[in-house]
Amino acid sequence: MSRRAVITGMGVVSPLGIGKEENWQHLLAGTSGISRISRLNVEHLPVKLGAEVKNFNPKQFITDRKALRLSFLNVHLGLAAAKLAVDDAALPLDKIDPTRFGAIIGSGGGGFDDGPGFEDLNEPILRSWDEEEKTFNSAKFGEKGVPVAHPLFLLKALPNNAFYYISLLYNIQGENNNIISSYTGGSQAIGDAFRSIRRGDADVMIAGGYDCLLTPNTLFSLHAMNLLSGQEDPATACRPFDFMRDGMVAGEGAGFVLVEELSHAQNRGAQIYAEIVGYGNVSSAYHIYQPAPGGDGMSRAILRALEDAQLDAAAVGWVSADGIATQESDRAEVCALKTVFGDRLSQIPVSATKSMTGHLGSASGAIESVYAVLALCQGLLPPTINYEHPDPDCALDLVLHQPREKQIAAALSINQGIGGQCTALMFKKYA
Amino acid sequence: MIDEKEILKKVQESIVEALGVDEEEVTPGAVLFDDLGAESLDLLDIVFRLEKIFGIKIPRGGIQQDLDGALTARGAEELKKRMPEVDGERIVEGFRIDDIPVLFTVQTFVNIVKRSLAEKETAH
Repeated sequence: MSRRAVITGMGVVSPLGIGKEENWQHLLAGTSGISRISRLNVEHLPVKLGAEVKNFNPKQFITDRKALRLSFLNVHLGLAAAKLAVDDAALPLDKIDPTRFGAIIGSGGGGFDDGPGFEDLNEPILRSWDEEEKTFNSAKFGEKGVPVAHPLFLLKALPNNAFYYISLLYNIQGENNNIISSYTGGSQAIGDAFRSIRRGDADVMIAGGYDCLLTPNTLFSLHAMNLLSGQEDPATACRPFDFMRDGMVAGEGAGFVLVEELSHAQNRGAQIYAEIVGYGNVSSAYHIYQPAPGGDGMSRAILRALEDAQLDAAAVGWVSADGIATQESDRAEVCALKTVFGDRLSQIPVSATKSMTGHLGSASGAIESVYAVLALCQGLLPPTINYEHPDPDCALDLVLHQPREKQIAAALSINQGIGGQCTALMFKKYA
Repeated sequence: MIDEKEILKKVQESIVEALGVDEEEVTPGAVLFDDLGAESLDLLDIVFRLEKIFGIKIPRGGIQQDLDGALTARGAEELKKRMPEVDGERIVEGFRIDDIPVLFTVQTFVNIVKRSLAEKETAH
C-alpha cells in the first residue's frame, strides 16, 4: 500500500487577512485586498496600486529576536504563516521524530524589504561612488564603504533565512529544500513535500511559500515589462479573464500547510482537511517571461498531475486558476485547460482568486492551495470578481461575484511563473 | 569630551537596537551573554553601531589582543584591573581568553568607547 499524504494544518497571511478564517470570509464576500500602496510614497512611481497585508504585527507571531531584527517583512510574513499552520495542526512537537520532520519553502529570493537590502547598502554604495567615472568603485568600497556596511548583512540576505528560523523553532531535522523561483515556489514546495511523504523520506512536512513584490525595484521592473495593471480603481484593478484585463496587481503574503503521512496523522488523532493526490511540475521552455501561447507547459503539468493522481479528467470538480490577469497568461491558461478538458471544460467551475488577493508572488501557489482545500472541505467555491466583459478567448464557467455551493470530490490548483515553470496540484476530499 | 552619561545612553540605545531587547533590561551591570541573550555575532553588530555613532575604531578582539589559550595567574590579575566592571570572581587562572566576551557588561562597552574617544583626543 503506497503512502498517502494529507493536509492537517493551514496558515495564511494575505491582503485578505491573517489566518485562514479571515481569508475565507473575505474571499466568499468577494472583498478586494487591493488598495493604493501605503508603505511607499507612490506619488512619482509608475505603479500606485498593490495588495498589502494589513494590520500585521510580526511580534504577535515571532519570538526569536534574531528573526525579528535580522530578516525583512517577507520573511516575517512567512514565519507567521508557518506558525499559523503548525498551530492549526496542533502538532505535538515533543512527540514528533525530528529526523522525520521536514520543510520545503518557496520564495522569491533573499530577504529583501525596501529593495535589495537598500537600507543597509545605501550608505556603503554612496561612499563607493566614483564621481568622475560615474560608477561603483571597488577600491573606494573597500576603503569607505566596508566600514559602514552592516557586518551581519549576510544573515539578512541569506535566501534561506526563513527556512533556518522555521527549522530552528520546530526542530526540523529531516528532508528539506528552499525553492527560489519566479512565483511557482509555493506550489512547488507543496508538491515536493507531497512527494517526500509519499516516497517515505519524511512523515511530516511543513510546506509553503512567502513573497513580497511591493518593493520599488520589483514594482518598477514588473511595470517595465508591461506586466502590471494601469487601472486606477483598486477594487476593480485586477480582472482575470475579463476582456478588459490589463495586468497583474503586485502583492505580498505567505501560505503554509502541514503535509502529513496518513497513518501518522490518524495515530495522533489529527484533523484531516484533504488529501494531496497528484502533482505535475513541468517547464514550457518557451520564453523568458511570456507563457507559451498555446498553454503548452501548463497543459502538460495538469496531465501529469492527473496521471500522478490516477484520476480521470472527469474527476476534477473545480479549478483554482492562476488567472494573473495579463492578456497573454490568462489566454494561455485557458488554452491549457481546453487541451486537457476539451468540451467538458464548460462544465467545470473555475475561480481566479487573484482578482481579490492580487499576485502574491511565490506565496500564490501555497495560498491558493489553502483556498482549494477550504473549498473542498466546505463545498463552497470562492468567487472571481471584476469579470464584466466576456473574452471569447477565455470562455470558462467562472464562479462569478458570489460563492457557489457545490460539493466537489477533487480540486485542481494551477500556477505558472515567469520563466516557464508550471505546476498543477490535485487535492481530494479526504474520506 | 562627551560625558559618561551620554556615552551610556548611546551604548544602551545601540544594544537595544542590536539585540532587540527592552530598554529597561540594559542596565550598566547587565551581562550581555547571560542577561541579555547575546552571542558573539551580536558583538559585531554592537561594535559596528558604536563605531558609527562615535566615529571611533574599535579593534576586533582588542581586549583579548587576539591571544589564544588560557589566562595565567598574572594575566588574570591584569585583566581584573583592566575590566573592573565585570565579575572578578570569574576571572581566574585557566579562564579561556576566547571566552572573555562572555563577561562583557554594558559598562564594558561604555569603557571601550571612553578609551577610544580619549585615544582619538590624544592623537589630535
